[in-house]
Amino acid sequence: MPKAAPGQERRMRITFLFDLLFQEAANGGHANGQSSSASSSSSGSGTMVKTFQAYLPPTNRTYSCVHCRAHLASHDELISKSFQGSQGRAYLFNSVVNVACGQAEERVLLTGLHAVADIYCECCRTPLGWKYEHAFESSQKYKEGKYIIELAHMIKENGWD
Amino acid sequence: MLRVKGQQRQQQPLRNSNRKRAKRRRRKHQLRQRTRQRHGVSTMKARNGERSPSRQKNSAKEPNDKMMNQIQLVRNRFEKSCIIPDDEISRKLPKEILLRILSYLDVTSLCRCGQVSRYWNILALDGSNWQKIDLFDFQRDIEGPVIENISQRCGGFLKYLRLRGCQSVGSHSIRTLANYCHNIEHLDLSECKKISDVAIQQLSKNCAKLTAINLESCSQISDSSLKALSDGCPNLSEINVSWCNLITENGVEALARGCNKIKKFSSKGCKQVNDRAVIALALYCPGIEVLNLHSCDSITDASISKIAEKCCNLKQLCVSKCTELTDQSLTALAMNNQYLNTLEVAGCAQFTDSGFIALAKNCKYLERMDLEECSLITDATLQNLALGCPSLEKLVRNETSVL
Repeated sequence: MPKAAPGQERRMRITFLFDLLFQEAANGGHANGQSSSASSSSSGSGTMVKTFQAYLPPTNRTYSCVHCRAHLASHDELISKSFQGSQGRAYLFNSVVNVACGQAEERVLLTGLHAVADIYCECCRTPLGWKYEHAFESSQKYKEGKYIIELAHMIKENGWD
Repeated sequence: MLRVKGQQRQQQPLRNSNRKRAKRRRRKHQLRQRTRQRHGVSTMKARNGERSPSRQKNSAKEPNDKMMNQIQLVRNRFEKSCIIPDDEISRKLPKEILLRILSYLDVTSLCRCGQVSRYWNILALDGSNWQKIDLFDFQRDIEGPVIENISQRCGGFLKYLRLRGCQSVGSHSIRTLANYCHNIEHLDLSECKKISDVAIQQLSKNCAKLTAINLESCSQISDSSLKALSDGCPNLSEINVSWCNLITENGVEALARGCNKIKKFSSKGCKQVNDRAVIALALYCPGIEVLNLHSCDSITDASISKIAEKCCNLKQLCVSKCTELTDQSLTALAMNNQYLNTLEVAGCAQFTDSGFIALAKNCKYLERMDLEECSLITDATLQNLALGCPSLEKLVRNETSVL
């Protein structure tokens, strides 16, 4: 929640919504607004959209965290479904939202040595998978910068209703 | 009347002229007084020829002040009709047209319009513009007092309120909302994690016109909310209690009994919603059109067959990840629900071709299907669907992508 100055708080309590909105519109690149969503919210308007987490457009198929239902990735960003994680199948995504990275470590996976960083859901802090930071074999270079999320932590939503 | 020659005639004109003269004098005096009042000059004669200047000024001001106060009072009482706007547009357009124009605006624009001038402020804050409010984009800033403010301002005008994701909103604010906004019809409280049963109970007491309520991810909601809704909101047609883990078959049954007009019911992820709940829905809400039971894994063929049998208007069904279901459900749907247009059965691994072939024969209006992870089906299903369902636009299947 944004830290409001005392005068601002009083106004928020007394006056109608428009004061509130007017304040936020004037502030524009408010510090809180920029750090609110790890990835930028997909809003076309000029003012910063003040949501707690990033939302993906509901018209596409989206994959959400099964524990907290935060949107993770859109189906358009899916690259491959045939990956294996520690708990079963996993998907490879080009980009994700509402996800935070840990520290990069070097691990030997099925496909060779990689530098990976564990990723976890920003809203509920459950580990989801990992991100490929660096691949040491040239055939695995395509994975760099991409994210693996295990199916056990995801729920698919078609957005048809 | 006999007139004496000379005398009376002379008298009468005299009297008349006196009267006329007096009248003229009186008139002149009145006029003089009035003009003096209008110009703020003292109407009292200066007896001594001297008067302190301040006293003169005061007495000159008094009638002015009184008039101004009166004007203010009148203005405050009939605000709209007395405030004359300064700009051309507001003067030329009748206020009804301005109100209509403002009614098309969203919350942000309306609030900005309210800042333009006093005249526009009154028009912008008019209740008729605040029937539909969507605060999804302002989640972080919407706290309790804001909702309370809105409820008091909009009162009976508010019909549609969307508070998705406004995590700071609690039960107290919703209780205030219920107290002031009796005409609310559509309320979206999804992801407002602090909302509890108390709020819903208050809503059910005061807002009988409620037709749609969304409580997705409000994890504190339990069966007592559903019971309250069944008592107080008989017109309820859409309800979403997805991911409310405390909901059991008791609540759903109570809801179904009380709210017979339900058309859309969604309880994704509610593991305790079982066959009994779905059968109750089928029996008491035959008009159901959209049913979403994603991940309600205790559902079996019995309840889906019942739904198929009783609810002829079923258009959208989602039973993804309900792994207990077999072809029997599909056959039942094929026999009874020809208007089915959306079917999601991802993860129902026991379905085979025969079920889908039956479906393809009868459900001509299928548009969207999700068959992912239905590992037993083959191309025969796809062929039959292609032949039988000409409107099929979206079909999701296991993709054999090799990378």
